[in-house]
Formats: sequence, C-alpha cells, structure tokens
Amino acid sequence: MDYRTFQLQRREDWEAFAAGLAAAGRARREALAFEDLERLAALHRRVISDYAYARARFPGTAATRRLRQLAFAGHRLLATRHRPLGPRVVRFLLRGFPETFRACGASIAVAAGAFLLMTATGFVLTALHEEFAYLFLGPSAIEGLRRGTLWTDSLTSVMPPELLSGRILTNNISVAIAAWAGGALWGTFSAWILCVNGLLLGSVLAITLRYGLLGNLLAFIAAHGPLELTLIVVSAGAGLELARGLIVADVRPRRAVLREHARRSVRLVLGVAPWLAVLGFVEGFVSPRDDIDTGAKAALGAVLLAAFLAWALSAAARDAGAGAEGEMP
Amino acid sequence: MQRMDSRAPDGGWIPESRFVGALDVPVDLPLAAVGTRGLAVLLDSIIILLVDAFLLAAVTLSAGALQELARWTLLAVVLGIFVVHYGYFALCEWLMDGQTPGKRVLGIRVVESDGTRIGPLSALIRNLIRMIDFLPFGFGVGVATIFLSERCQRLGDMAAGTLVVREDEPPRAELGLPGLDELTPQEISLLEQYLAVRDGMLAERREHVARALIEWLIRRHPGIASRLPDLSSPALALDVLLGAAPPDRVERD
Repeated sequence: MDYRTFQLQRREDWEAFAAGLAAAGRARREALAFEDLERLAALHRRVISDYAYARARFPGTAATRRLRQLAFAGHRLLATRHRPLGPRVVRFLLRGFPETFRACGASIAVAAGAFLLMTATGFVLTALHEEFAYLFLGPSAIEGLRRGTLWTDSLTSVMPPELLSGRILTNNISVAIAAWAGGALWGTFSAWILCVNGLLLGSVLAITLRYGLLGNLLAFIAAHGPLELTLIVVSAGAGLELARGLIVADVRPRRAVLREHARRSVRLVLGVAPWLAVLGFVEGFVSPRDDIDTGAKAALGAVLLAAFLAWALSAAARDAGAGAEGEMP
Repeated sequence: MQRMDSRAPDGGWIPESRFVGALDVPVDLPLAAVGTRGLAVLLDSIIILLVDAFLLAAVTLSAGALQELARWTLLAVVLGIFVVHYGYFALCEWLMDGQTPGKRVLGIRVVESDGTRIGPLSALIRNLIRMIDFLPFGFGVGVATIFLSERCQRLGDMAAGTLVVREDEPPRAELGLPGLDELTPQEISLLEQYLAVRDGMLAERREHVARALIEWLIRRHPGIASRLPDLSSPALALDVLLGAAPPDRVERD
C-alpha cells in the first residue's frame, strides 16, 4: 500500500480515535461509560496496528509520528490502572504505614543506634571540653547560660506563637524530607543529619547540666521533644532504607531494587509529616508557656510519643500476636 | 536529513525509550533533551516566584485591615509558600497527566517507565529527590545523571521509575501526493518537512528551496517531470504536485 492510499483508507479511524481522546479529556479510564471505553479500546487497537505497519513501511513520516502520538495517548488513558485516593489513604493509615515501619525496622534501628551513639559522644565531648558547644550554640546563648537564662526564653517574646508554629513545622518537615532524600546520596546526607542532631542534643544536655539549667531545658522540650527526635530518627531511617536500594545485592536490575526501596521509604516520610505538623503547634503554643505545669507538658509529650509508637508498631504487634497463636497446637 | 537506522526507526536521533503497549507492539518515544527539561524548570520556577510574590503582597496589604487575624494570615502564608515550594511539581504532574505548565509549554511529559500515566507516589518521589538533583548548585547531580544514564533519567527519575518523554507536535502539513506512489519514506519525510516550514520562509528563499527540491525529485524519479504543472513559480508548482493547499503567505507576498 502506498503512503497516500494508506492515509486515505485509515485516516477515518485515526480521526475518530483522536476525537474520542479529546472527549475523554483528562478523565480516568474508570470514569468512562462502558460503550465509550469499548469503542476507544477497539480504535486504539486499530491505531496500534496501523502504527506498527507505518513505522515499518513509512518510517519518519508525518503519519507515523501522528500514529505514535495517538498510540501513546491511548496507552496513557487505557493502560493506566487508577486507584482512587480516598481508600488508598485510609488503607495507608490503617495498615500501610505500620507495615512499612515493620519492613524498614532494620534501617530505623540502625538510625536510632547511630543517633544515641552520637548523643552520647556529644555529651561526653562537651562535658570534657565546654568549647564543643560553641559548634551548635551561638556565643550569646552561652553567655546567657552563664547568667542563668535559657536561650529558649526569648523565643516567644520575639515571635507570636502562630508564626513560630509555622516556622517550626515547615522547618521540621523540611529536615525530615531532606533526611529521606539524602539517602539518594548513598545515605551520606541522612547519616550527616543524624550525627549533627545527635551531637547537638548531647552537647546541649551537657552544657545546660553544667550551668544547672538542665531542668529548665527538659521542661521546655518535655511536650514536643520526645516525639520530635523520634520522628527525625525515623526520617533518617527512611533515608538509610532508600540508600539500601542503591547498595544491596539482588538478582533484579538495580533500577527495580531502587524503585522498590524508594516507594517503601517515602511512605515513612508521608506518615511522619502530619505528626511533625502537630508538633509544630505544640512547640509554638505549649512549650514556651510558663503557666503550664511541667508535669502536664511531660504528660502531653508522653501521650504523643505513645500514640505514634502504638500506631507505628501495630503491624509488628499484630504479627507477634499471630505468631504466638500459630505456635499453639 | 535525520539519521535512519534500525534502533530508531522513526528517524529520531535522540535516545528513545520503548514500552510495549496493546497487541505487543513496541512504541518508541523520544526522550526529552536536558536543555528542554532545564527550560521547563526555569519557567516553573518563575511561576513559583510569582505565586510567592502574590502571597507576600496579599499578606502585606491585608495586614493593616485584619489586625488580630493578621497572625493567622501570616501562618497561612508561611504554610502556603511551603506547600507551593514542595508540592508544585508533584501536584501538577499528578493532576495534569505528567505535565507542569512549564513542561506543557515545551511539549514534554513525565510517564511511568511502562508508558502509563504517572501516579501520585512516583510524582512525590521524583520531586522530593529534586533537592538532591539540584546539588551542589544548578542541578549538578541531575544533569550528570541524565548524561550518564541510558534513558536520560535524573536521580529522582531513577528512584521513582519515571521517564521524561518529548511529545511530537501534531503534523502541520498534509501531504496529498496524488500519484506519487514511487516515493520512498525518506523522500516523503523530507517533503513533509518542507511543507511544514515553508510558511515561515521568505518568498525568495522558498522559491530557491522549491526549485532545488523539484530538480532533486526529477533526478531520482524522471517520470515526475511530465506531471509537473507548467507554472513560473517553483514553489506553487511543487505545492500543486504534492497536492498541498497553497500557503497563506502567497497572496500577501
């Protein structure tokens, strides 16, 4: 068949398919009426078969390019399986996140171990050499410590709590995202975030202890600190999980392994982000207030941490329960 | 003339991706070039900056009027800017079938590596890793991995399993070709390319190119000489020969 005859004979189907695609617009496959879907699928097969003929017989011509374009657009509409977002979110909250947390347990454990080690290191270094704290706290903050005031005292006098909350929650979510994405650099950046935050915590604990202000510091961080540190460790653990996708040996191609690890680990960040948003408000509205009893702050902190851990560990707990039942005769 | 070989049967010389669609027919899509992708990012960055400026201007103008509300407005703006910075690319690509406004202008699209529509998780992954691709500055990591990877993927694309493909413009020229059955695909392709761009040529230049094309056609297919209309203008003669509608510019020139 020559080029012109091919075009004249087949063009009608191409136009019909293009019109059908335009009518479908940005709709998903699942949103189409059955008759429309059936008609589009039949036309798509004709377009694909014409494309196969055209690219063998008339490579590089306008008709071949157009057919490729139609085949591609049809493929995006007809071959994409659409899963509605609502049920996916519900499933993620009920099962997805706890299961991901369990699957990434090893990476999170490594992150937690490294963080504790660095906290201890920072504590010991600062206890031995006070100058180490200058790495993390400015000279004015340390001058304040000598005078017996904590640098956190001035936070709310400078900034209204609404703005403080916004700044803190966006900053913390940014750190969580960076700790995860940094895993794509073979985990180096995730490890760096763990080290810096661990050293900082240890160093701050040591220097406030030295000036007798540890109690004030603990009172300030009691409400938000425990969960916030946990969430940063989980995010860095997600980064290490992503890095494992670049490193672990597997029979599958590297790109398949990396993709699987990326999809698994980003779910940890998705689960952590809402908690960081809540903590932003706790840190902006509750932590700086002196009229709230330290015991109440500590109780709030404990409840928040317990709620997160109960959620995150629910899949592992369910497994342990099922395992115990399975062992029974 | 574009290079033709077995690996790129559609005449493209840019690396192509291949996915297998219905009927097991492989469809080869040209991958977007690094410069095109950079330009798209530049356009999108300008849009993000404009949104930032708008939000800041709105809060500045409303601050006096709202008084007590102003603090909460401020919080909303801080959160708004955060969402725009982190979510613009992912949300656009998810909701606009793999395109951001910048990508749409430049005719490129993100798809899953099997050619299907990009999903929300993939959009999120490739755009959160954007911050690593940006390192140390100006997309250093991203450009390096695009150059080094077989399918022109930056780090974020590798992790998400996505590709950025170039979409062909719809053909602008219809080649009627009455009775010219003996032409090869390469010849058809060249004539179609001429028809697509001739409107933009200066009249003198177009006559020159048309005369060269007619001589080239007659040399390859001597039978065509007898079918050539007897017109003083080679461009018009070629249009009639190819069965193409005359370009608009002819009357104006």
